Amino acid sequence: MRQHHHHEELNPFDKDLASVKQQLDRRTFLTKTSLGIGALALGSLLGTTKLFGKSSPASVEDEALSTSFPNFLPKAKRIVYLFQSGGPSQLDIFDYKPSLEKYQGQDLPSSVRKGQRLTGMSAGQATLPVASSLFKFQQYGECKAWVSELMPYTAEVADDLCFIKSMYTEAINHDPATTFFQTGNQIAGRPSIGAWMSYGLGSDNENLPTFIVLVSKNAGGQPLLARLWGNGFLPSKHQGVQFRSGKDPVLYLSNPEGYDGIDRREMLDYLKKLNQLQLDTYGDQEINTRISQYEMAYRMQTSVPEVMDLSDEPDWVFDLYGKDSRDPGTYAANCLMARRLLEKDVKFVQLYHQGWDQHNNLPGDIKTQCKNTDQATAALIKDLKQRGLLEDTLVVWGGEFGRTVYSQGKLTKDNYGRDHHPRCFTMWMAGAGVKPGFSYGETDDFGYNIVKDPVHVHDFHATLLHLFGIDHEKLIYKYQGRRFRLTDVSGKLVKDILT
Amino acid sequence: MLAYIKSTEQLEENNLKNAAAKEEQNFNRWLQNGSYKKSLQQKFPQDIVGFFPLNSEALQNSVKPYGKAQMNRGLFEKHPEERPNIITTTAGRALLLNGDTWLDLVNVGKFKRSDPFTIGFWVNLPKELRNGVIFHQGIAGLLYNFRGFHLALDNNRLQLEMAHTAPYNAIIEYSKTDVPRDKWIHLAVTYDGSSKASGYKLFLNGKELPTLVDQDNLYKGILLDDPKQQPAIQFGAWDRGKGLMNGKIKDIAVFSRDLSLLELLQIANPVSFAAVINKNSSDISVAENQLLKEYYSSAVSADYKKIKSELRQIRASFNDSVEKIPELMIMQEMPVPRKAYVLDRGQYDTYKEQVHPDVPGSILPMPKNYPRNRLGFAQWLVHPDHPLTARVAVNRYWQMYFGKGIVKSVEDFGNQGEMPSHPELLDWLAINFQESGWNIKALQKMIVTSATYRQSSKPVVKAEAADPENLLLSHGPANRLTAEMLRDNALAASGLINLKIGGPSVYPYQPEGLWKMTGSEYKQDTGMNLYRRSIYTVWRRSAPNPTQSTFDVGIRTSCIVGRQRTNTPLQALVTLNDPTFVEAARLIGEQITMAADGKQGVVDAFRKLTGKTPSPKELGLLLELREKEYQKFKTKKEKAKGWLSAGDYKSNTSLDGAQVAANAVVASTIINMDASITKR
Repeated sequence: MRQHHHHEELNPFDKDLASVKQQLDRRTFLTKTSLGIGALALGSLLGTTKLFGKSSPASVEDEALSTSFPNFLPKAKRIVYLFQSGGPSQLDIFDYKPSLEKYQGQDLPSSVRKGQRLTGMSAGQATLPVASSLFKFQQYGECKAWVSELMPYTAEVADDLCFIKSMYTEAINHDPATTFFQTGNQIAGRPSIGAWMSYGLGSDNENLPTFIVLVSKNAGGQPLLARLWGNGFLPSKHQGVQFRSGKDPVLYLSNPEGYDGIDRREMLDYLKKLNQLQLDTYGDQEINTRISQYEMAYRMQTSVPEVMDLSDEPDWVFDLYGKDSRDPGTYAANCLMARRLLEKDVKFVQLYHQGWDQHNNLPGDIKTQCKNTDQATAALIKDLKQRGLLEDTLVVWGGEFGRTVYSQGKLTKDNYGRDHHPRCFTMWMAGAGVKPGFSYGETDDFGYNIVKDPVHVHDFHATLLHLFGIDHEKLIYKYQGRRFRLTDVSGKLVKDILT
Repeated sequence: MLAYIKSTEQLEENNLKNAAAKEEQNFNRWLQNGSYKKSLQQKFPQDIVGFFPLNSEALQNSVKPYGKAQMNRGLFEKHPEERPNIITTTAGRALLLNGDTWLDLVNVGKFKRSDPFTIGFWVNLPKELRNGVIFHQGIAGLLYNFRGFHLALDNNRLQLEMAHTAPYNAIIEYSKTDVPRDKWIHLAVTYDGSSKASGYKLFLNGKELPTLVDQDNLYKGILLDDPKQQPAIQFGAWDRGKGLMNGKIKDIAVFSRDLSLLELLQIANPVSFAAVINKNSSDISVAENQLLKEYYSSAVSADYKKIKSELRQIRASFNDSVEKIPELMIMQEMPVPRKAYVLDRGQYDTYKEQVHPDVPGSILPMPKNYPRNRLGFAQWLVHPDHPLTARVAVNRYWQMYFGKGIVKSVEDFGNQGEMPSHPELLDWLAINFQESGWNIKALQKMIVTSATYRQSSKPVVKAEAADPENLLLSHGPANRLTAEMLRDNALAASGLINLKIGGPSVYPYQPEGLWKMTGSEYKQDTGMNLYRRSIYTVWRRSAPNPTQSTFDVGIRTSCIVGRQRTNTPLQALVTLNDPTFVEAARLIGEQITMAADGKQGVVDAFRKLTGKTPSPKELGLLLELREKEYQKFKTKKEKAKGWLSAGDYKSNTSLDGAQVAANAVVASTIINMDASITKR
């Protein structure tokens, strides 16, 4: 297989865009320098060769794609997606429904349910008693956003958040719903959002993967699957790379015990010479690529542990993210890690936190979930903001679906459960290109159906791509005779939430 | 062995039939001397293990082993104690059900499929209830494919089920009619331990209720794998399913025997029962004689009891043996094929016209005599006039060796696919393949022995300019080895490879914790299972083997006919540091160390890994590297530690560690050379 050379030239329509891109690059440079010597030193150590992905638009290299990206001025340069796996209860956190109290314990009125189907897990229940939230809500910030006592830290940054209260999905169970959110299709096999972005936009960081995945340790709950950050049918270099806490943040990063970097360098020098001989014989550019991949692997052995090593963070940062942030692999530590990766212009940082699937014993369990995540989530917003990164970084918080207003299982004075509810739930976005302190969409008084401005998963994807300057109808990959998009054949841009 | 057990079961079943004749005399004596009156005097029929009158909140079992039932709901709820709702009804005190809370008999009724049993009770079913479980043994049906047994209202019929996994490995029966509503009725279920629908019966008010048998295919156990999770019989509700809201229930009786009709009458209709047994033997009708005879066999005859208990043991051991046999899922035509329709705009419940199985006629009309099922489809695929199958197949084998097919779009021979680069060659190969009797081995042998394949992959300068993609095959192919080949090559060169064929999947080295997020744990193999060929490595799509997935093994969510061949830094890390490869390097290092001539040892290792002899320059570099590494390891032993300890395979400790480590570095270097990674 021969290496196709990247063509850097842009078509005439994109001239203006090119100058915008240059300006952006300059701004990034300035932002970077403000981070201090560390970032610069790392940059120079690693040189300018690209480690992962590519920086040029995908169009020329991949014949299936006929457009150059971005299509228009992007608002966002990078994204951190805080995926709350399991389906957090919107009714107990963000979607305040004060009138529920007077229906407490009564069967869900059929005028609200309108004969809609229920999920198999509560469809058999003899009664569907309305359960109003046990948690107190209050308005926060100038935007007067309602947030419950479960999320006191998030409440503090309410003025930075753009709530979408009218999200809905088609899937009713975790695996298809999560797969839908991450790949635009309920059935596994399509590329994930991050892979599409890597494919369309390439990399802004030469030294780290474009798409990095961090999974909270010990969260438990519904299983996660590596294909959620898979490349599907896209070239596999676009797949998410999971960074793990511990000795080998990236699999097989460490040399055999005792064999240090200098030793490895010596061995690789010989390997390089041997491969060079092979290249001289066969003239296959693939050998050249392999030589440089070994060099890059070698550099990663330094750059990855460096970015993963939190010891250079001052105490006040750990205080900001909470004490868990000193414990590698926790959600809090991953949020802090996300900030470090975003600072290095990793385009897509995907966090996963399991454990939001509260069918039963919701009040106790959701308290723990919120306690483990709230402070660090808010800290990430604050931290990005104070570093000037929030203006071109998009932060997304949300799960795969919402939860029912009626109690799954027995409703008591201090306990209830909630089943999966795809018909409405709340997500929020913050940062690049979305309105801060804004709330979009409305649900009915029971938080059961949407009454205003519904946002489908495809609409969310279309909007996400738009923020990165991509027209979702143009990011296409032809595979096995069909042209595929992240948004399939749907998706409407949610213009009203954009700045 | 199964056949043997099955034959002994048959034998016992015959014994049981023959016993009737042998017992005829004894029965007549018993009848004549009026013993039946005495033996039917007890309050309950024999072998009762539970009687729950449900007349007080205590929910007491009034017979041995006594104990209490309890109310429960929600498998995963930390429920505060649920209280029974005992009410007074026209039939006395009874338990009122709410549809979500069930009555758990606690220890009563954990029956196996070889255990005979009877469950009888009085129930009042409200008219408005179309669906709802009456009783069940097992955890929530939805989660466990209804393993266990149950009696339920299903769309205004009674559904009687016993399942390993419903609806296939199960007995499923339906009553032909609904049962009376809003009045007290007596329902009973008997089961004889035969795993057959004919031995699983339903009774209303002491009379058998005819059923339609929907499935009669129970061939595995009905208890949960984990005995700690195994619940007893539960009445009135089940987790995540419909229960008996506003149903009333009382007098639940459970027996460890399939009662005879007369005994069922005893619990369901004491008046009719008394009318029979109070008769003198001379007044007994033919029908009543039959009832008594059945009763005699079931409850009195010692011979019968002995045979029955033997039969039960044989069935239990048969079940235990079957349980251990791994099951393989296969596709099977249904006895009556399900009708298929065009669904209006894809909506699953809006049928338009009916459609029938057929093939695209534009490719090749399906011969009329072929059955319209998978067999017919297979016959059609290999029909001599089929224009595609042989071409598509040879094209894929060609791709395996040349890196791309004669038709580059191997997955698409349609109008969006590519044209063949050598159409005549494709046709010739295809015809040849058909005429050889689809001989795959011969086809591959022909390809690899062809002059075209055997060309050097070194391009001629002129050719490269004229045909950069080498479509015209002016030189041989160069392809990176697949994930499996790369690992197997290292294992084979080191001598570690285990060439055993077949058997269950194996669990080679993999970093700890990768399966954790999927809610399970990877248990790494030990010994020679670590070195099985890569095709035997276990597949878990949600957390694929990292060595393989880094080298572009498919994700197996759908079929692919060509793998990507990428070139990434993560791949370099695998072949440099994955213990599989470091261990192989260590073993090769030992071999080089043991070679009489160290230089020849390096040459041999090179040949094993790359299939060619190193050039003098290559050999020179490797020997130079070896010397440098040796000097280093000699003075700094700690640097060799990882190289000498990689993997589980025992080290040859009689060798000089510094030498082995230096040679292992050389071996690892060869493993990482393009010459090993790419087949040229």
